[in-house]
Amino acid sequence: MATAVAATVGLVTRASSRLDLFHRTLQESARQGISLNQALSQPVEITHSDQGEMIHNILRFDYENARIAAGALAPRAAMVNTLQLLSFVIIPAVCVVLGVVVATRDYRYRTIKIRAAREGLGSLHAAHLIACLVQTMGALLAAMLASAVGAPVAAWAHRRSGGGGEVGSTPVAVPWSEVLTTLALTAAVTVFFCAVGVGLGLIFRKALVPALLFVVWNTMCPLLGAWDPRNLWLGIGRRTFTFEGVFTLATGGTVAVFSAACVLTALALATFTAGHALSSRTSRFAG
Amino acid sequence: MPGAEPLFGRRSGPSRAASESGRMRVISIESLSKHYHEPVLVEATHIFPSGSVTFVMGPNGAGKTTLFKCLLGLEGYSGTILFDGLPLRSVRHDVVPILDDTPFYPALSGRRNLDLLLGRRVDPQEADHAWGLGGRVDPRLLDRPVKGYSSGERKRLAICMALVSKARYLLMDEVASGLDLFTMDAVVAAIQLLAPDTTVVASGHQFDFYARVVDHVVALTDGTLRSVDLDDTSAVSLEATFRSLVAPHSG
Repeated sequence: MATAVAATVGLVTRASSRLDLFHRTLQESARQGISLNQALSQPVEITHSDQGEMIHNILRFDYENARIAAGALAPRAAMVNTLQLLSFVIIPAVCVVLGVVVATRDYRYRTIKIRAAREGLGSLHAAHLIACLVQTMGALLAAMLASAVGAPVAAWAHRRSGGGGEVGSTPVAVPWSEVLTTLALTAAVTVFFCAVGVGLGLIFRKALVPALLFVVWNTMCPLLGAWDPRNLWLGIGRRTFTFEGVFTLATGGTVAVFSAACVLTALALATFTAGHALSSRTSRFAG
Repeated sequence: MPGAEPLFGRRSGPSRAASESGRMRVISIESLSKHYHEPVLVEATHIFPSGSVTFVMGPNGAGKTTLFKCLLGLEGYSGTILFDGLPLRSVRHDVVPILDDTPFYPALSGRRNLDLLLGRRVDPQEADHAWGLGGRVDPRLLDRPVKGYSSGERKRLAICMALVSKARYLLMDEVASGLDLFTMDAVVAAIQLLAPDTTVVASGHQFDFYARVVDHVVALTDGTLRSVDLDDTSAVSLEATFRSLVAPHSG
């Protein structure tokens, strides 16, 4: 829910700021004798020089940006924006920590001895992973729906406060296929980080060590460059998303989508499998 | 009441016959070997008879807990362990371990722990009856978090779990340690209730306790298991047998 709220607030803030910028540009253009209709009859040109980027027909440019930002408050656009924010900011941390906590719970209380005997380690570890996925998928869907409901309300409030009048908004530019594609990618990210979290929990059998390791890894510069798992996901996202809300993906390096998917799948499988295999080592139940 | 079905589906009183279904619940171990840095179990072979209580005795470090871990599939081993001719994975839900440290989820109530560890919702009346077996226990405890239980109450909860699960194979490692007299009576009553249809394997050092329930004695020494034929299974006899096992191995 917090993510949905943050995403919606971000969209509204962006829509308001772009609308304000458009109004200022409109006033400045009026002083120069340029009307909005005149600007809309001419194309926008962007040129690059040694001094940087130059935008010609700034009035039309700001007008269209304001319309696009207002259009991003549509339910489908808001959902996609929230999913992108979840995928690359929230889910990695939440899923890994949740996976670690769930996987280590029975070791922490030593109930692993009873559960392993009555249920089998394989079933137990699979249940841990499924529990993480159910919780995170549920939260993900709730956030998505909250965005879908909250964004139009925010858009209405935005219009009521004087926003949008002459600008209006773009027609819904996000098709359902993009929503579903984004949801599928977010689900894949969820599965990946849940598997990594559960695997780390099983490997270390303690919650603190893997949690600290993840925080350190997550805040460090990508040591693996383009092959850093975070960058691999960002690269896949860049090639998957055609719509970007307030969340902008920044990738470093390029890896083919298929290669990235293979590496990420192998990494998740290896971590989870290693955790399960190490659970069979001698004295794994530590007394 | 004649013909009435007991709450746990058992006939009360000792019976050494096979279960009502006619199924023998034998635990067979063949050439079981396990080593850590040195051998603990060496080609151990034994058959634990069904519907009886077998007491595994041995000095500290003999490998009793290791044996239990192998029986529960908690450790890798070489050899064969079968439950009624079946591997553990086929009878998991018929096996209940009671371990010395009686692990439970501390923040959850006893009743909730039973549900989670048995993988099903336990009938409240059944749980209450099992919990109150032998009397002298606060019935309200079952609804309180386990972290407030004493070690004896945790053992009682473990026994309660065995009763409500209708365990076919009950493995008890040091179940009697730390029990007061009344709790010990309750545990004895529970084992006697279960024994006709359950294969019980127990280990420990409280001979007064085991003398009240044991049918067979097995000695674990030098990594191997061997039956001990005793004319009586009194506490004195068990202690004397134990001393005779340890004496040749003392330094």
